[in-house]
Amino acid sequence: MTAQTILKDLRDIPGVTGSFVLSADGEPRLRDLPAIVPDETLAEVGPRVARLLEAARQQNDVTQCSLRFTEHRMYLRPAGPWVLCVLSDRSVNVPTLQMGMTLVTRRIATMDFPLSAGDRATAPSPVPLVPTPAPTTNRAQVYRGRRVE
Amino acid sequence: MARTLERDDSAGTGFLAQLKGLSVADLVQMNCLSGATCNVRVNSRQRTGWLHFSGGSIVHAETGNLTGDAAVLEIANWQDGTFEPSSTERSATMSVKSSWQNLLLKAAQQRDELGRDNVVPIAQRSGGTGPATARAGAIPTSTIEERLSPSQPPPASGRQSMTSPFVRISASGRIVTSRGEVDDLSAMAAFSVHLGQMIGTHLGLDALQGLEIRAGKQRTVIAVTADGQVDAMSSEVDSELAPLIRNAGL
Repeated sequence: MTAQTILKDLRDIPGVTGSFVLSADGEPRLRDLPAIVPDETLAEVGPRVARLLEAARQQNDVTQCSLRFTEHRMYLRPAGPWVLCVLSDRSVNVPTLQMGMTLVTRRIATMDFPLSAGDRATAPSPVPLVPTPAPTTNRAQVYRGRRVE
Repeated sequence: MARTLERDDSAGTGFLAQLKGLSVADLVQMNCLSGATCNVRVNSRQRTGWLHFSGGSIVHAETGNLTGDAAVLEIANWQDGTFEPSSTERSATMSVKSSWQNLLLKAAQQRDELGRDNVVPIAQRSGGTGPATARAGAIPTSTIEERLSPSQPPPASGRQSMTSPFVRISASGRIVTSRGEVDDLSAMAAFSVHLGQMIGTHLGLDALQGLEIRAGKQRTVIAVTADGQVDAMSSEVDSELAPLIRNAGL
């Protein structure tokens, strides 16, 4: 089975919008997402997913993290050196998806998804550790009583 | 596919354009991102639909037999045709309930489910790829809106709940209620919610309602209430977490 077909299998599950694979530090390595989600968006999301998992780690490594949005869900599951991320709508059959993710994580855990030279050259700059405001937020900051733009 | 598009500003300024190769998704993004207020008629084969934009949102849509979100999804899946400004009276109906980002994402998902051929390794991608070929037709939709009810702190019951940490954090980051050792939990919950909201914003998703984190036997559930409060609890006992899981919609 090739890398191209592994993620595609997840869309056999009704409600799955798509999925992607990140490296441990959040670099996107494989995607099966609608074209409305451009690579640039994934490059912004990836490091934040990695930081979320890092923050969530307590005594034990995170085995799964799920995010519930109004209409969508996002499932994150570490798989060896990778993180499998699945985007679904809220109607998805969760046990079915869990099984599908288990199969995919088994397969990708031992695979390699190297960055091409071109991707390395255009890789985004590292995202700062402290989260910055979301792009749509335009809130004035106040520092020591003064408004800071 | 040739299209004409005109801004329906009362001032009458702007271009009348003829463009080729656009999709309905392009039309929606163009109008919504520019904050346009206009009506557009979309013709595709023997079908006609109307999209009503107001202040950067789709407020109403209809096709022959569908209105609202379902009509947007159907129109968004039409693959060829024309669109043009419509002089029809702007509808007072606000039939579209979902954000345009969500509707486009859902339409893209439906197209993908009909034509699965766009798996591309990142390393092999060369520029953008178009969405998979879709089949036109009526698209079913589900009801979408679901609001969280204000969460209540989970009741303490049994020996385990006396030690499982619980914390409620206000939107400004103040700890409103807590039980047990919550220093790590409160920081992790606040940080995770912030990152989760950013991830959702980047992907064009709606509001974050909750997170669930499994680490070993430990399960942490975080619920975001409608007024921005964050409830978080960690436990190895599923039954303890049940009220929070319900509130988070997990």
